Amino acid sequence: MEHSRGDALGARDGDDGRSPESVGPQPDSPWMAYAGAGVVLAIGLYAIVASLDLGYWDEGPGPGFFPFWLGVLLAVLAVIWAVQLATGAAGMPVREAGPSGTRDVVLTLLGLGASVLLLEVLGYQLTMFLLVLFQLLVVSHRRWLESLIFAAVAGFGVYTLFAYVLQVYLPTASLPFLAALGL
Amino acid sequence: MKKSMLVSGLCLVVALFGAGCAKAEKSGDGATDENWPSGETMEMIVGYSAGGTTDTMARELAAELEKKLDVQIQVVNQDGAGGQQAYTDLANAEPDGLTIGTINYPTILSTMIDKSKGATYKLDDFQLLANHVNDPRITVVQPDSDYKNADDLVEYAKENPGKLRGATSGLAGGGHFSMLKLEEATGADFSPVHFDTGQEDAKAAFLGGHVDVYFASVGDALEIIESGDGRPVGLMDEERSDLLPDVPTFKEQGIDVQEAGMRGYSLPAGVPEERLKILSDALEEIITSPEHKKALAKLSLVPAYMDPEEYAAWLDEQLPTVEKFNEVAMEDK
Amino acid sequence: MDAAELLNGFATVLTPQNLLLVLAGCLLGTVIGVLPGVGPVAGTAILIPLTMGLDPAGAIIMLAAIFYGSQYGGTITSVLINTPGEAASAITCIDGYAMTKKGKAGVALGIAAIGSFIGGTLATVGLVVAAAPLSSLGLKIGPPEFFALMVLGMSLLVGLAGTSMVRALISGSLGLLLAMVGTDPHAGLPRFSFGVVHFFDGLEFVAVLVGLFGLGEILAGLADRRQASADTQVGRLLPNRQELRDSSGAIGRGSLIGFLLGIIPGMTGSASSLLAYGAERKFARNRDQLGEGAIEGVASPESANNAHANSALIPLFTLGIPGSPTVAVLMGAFLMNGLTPGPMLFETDADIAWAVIASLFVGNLMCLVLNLPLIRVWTMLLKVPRPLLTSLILVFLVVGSYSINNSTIDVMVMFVFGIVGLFFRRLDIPLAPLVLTLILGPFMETSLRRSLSMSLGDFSIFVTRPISLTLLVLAAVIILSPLLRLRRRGQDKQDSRFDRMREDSEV
Repeated sequence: MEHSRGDALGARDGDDGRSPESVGPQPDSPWMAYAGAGVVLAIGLYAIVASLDLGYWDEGPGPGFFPFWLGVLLAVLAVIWAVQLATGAAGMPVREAGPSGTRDVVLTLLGLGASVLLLEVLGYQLTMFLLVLFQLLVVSHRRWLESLIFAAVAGFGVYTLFAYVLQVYLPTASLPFLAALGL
Repeated sequence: MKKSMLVSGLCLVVALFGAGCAKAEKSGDGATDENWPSGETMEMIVGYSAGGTTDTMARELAAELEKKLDVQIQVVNQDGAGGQQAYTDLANAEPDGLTIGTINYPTILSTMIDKSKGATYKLDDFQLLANHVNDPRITVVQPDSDYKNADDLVEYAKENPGKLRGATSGLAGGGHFSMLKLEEATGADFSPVHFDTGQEDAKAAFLGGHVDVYFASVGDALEIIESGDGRPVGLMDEERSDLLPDVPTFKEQGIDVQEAGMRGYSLPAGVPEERLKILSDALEEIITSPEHKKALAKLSLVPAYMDPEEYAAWLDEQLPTVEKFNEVAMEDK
Repeated sequence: MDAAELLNGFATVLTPQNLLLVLAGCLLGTVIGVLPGVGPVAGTAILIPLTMGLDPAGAIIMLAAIFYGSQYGGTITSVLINTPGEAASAITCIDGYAMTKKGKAGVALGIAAIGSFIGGTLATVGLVVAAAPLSSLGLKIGPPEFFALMVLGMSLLVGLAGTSMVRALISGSLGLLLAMVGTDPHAGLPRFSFGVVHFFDGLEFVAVLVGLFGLGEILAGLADRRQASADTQVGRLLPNRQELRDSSGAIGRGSLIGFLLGIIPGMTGSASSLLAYGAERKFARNRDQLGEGAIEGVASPESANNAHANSALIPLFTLGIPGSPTVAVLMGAFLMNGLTPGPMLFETDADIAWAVIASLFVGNLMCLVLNLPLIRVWTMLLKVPRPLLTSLILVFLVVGSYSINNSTIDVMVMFVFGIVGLFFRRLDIPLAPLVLTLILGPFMETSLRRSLSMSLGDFSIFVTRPISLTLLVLAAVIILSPLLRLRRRGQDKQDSRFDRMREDSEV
């Protein structure tokens, strides 16, 4: 599939038949909100359970006191929120991301997540270089030359600035052959 | 088409590797030559935040060490978890003699003993290098209070258990230990108020009159004693401090309580003998010199050099005491 | 105050060498402030060795310049890319970035610079005029008063609820729970740390904020495919007369609050700016727009954090107590140069002390003069094509969060909170309550515990002490006042609904 080069805004017309402005409030699929309420409930319950091991009261609130009650509060609030959603009283403009929006977010997160894990393995320079390259080429469909230059600046240029000028130490590679190369 | 782009991209990356070669400057870790560590870059891990007394004194020492050994020393502040992060990093560092770390008593021992902290190091993981200063504990009361000496204070605390509030720099820290040791030796009973965010907060609380006693160290309290904002009732050391010659020790007053504030340095265990000797000799020369004593006095500190064996032995001796008082501390919060 | 000594101080500062040092300090400080993670603490610490070659007065002058200069720099990324350069600039993100989205980035940066200058200068005047009595006043704030102050802060921000009280409470409670991560202040037990030593001190604050605001904004922008053209409009570069008039009250209030809170040992700049923002909720002319780009929302916290930075020097100079970690670094600089801050400072080294104080005036002015023209440069950043800017910001976020503690764990925290920030935005959960409770929460719990240790378990300590009682009563009044207004508003709503029904039936 050919990708038309995006304009400066990164938006693409005719990509999925929708122009950006049409992604407006669509309150008919609030599954994300229910999931959110579920997560909050889970956090609340976890806090309650975890706080039981810590002391409750000891001449004043102990370590477990506030976490316990916060857990209770969160659980209650989560239930109220879910009820509000069900009865339509939540008043939330739930927006669905268009398919390309979700794709961008997921890809960015994958790229960023991988870099976080690789930072100390491949070293800052290589990891950031790859991240920017990935972000520009795959997520934003920019041109190769432009992406490479940016990636080089981000990876190697920034490292030089920080490590040599500002004396802020950024991670170096832990794989021996990379480390020997000064990465 | 995409695949070839990817390949050419990777080639470019490899080419850039080559450029990166120019930046390689790994220090050699082969055999020790006679000039070691001349020309090397060393790292000093300071387990406290920048600007504090431990940090300042470590940086001063680093500056002198740089000159003596012809090295570059990077000081890294790693103040996480009351020093535990720094100790962990030190224990896990390469034992090539190029990484030194600060060691504070009692946290080096209390972090190891306290199971809930999950420390991954033991005393064996460290090769102690030298003790730098001793900053002994001193008990200070409000200047307008009725307690003129240790006996007055202890008497009141025995007759009114728990009524006197004492500021400490944190649960199971040196200040708290000094309070507990005093309680054990005399039967007095104080109520601790812990300022684990830093001894400055403890000092501020004392100056603001929010607590009755300040379980400080000489370094913390020297200024306020000299300005009259605090009255010292006893020093927890063998002999009087050079910085405060008029302050009697608890021992003189008949209460045998000692709580030293030893601060020194260590290497990770496993450093080759020759390197250990070079470093410890250099530190000995610096720390025992008269100029250094003057420099430390400006920081309200007194040198107390101990060589590697002495230092290790001293810490070992303290272990049972620290274990005991750590338990007491947890109950008597 | 001794006018002669102050003039002497000026004479020392206004030499070519020292002026150059102030300039260098302001520049470096601004750069350090811009980079998240390389906050004033790390930055000043890094630069201490550099200043070792200078004479004591020069070294401290430069370091002080870095210190307050960084308060100017922290705002820039907050306003332009919704990423706080350091904790004290976090609250500026809210209205500052909203203004950028409305095309008013230049105005926001301009008013921030002006407010910072006024705040810093007024605080320095206070330092000169009343340092000693003020520091005694600061000492009177013990743990119970601190706690009451935090409660007051919380009460002021009750109004940040937004559309839904339930979701605002969720946000606030989550923030409080996150504040509990770490070693508890009383028993020393690690809470919610999952065995990770790094979390024993709690979650790294700046990493959470950088993730929530910075990364969250990027992800939300990607999800929404928002039109970027609005963002790239830079508009005017400086505030106009109306905007200046609107902000004058905010600047005054912010400066006062920042100044007063700065003399309290243990109070941080982030708490100060937060409380100043909270006050704007009650007093700002444009208070309904707070959160959506009200200029007071930028002017007040910025004045507050600069006033705080300068007045935090009061307890340092007069008592030798550094009010916050940043000031502690400055204290280290004093010590290393053979000076001992504290009551003896003005007796033993008065000339250097006054030179430093004079440099505060000069430096604040210099920072203003430096930063105003730079606004044009910073706002050029907004013209960079969005995808390129996004990728660079991602790198910026990684570097920033890593360099806080030289740890990839903080980068992971940033990553996780970026996702949290995305969901908060999509689910219309307000961010401000979380920031509020995350900042104030630890203070509240710690001061509560200490107060109870002081009172041996007796809760009445909070109401038997005059200052603490006053603050708590004030807090109660503030919390209860909306309830009275709600009843009246409820009546209005019913009336307007009735009107609408009538209109509908007429169609």
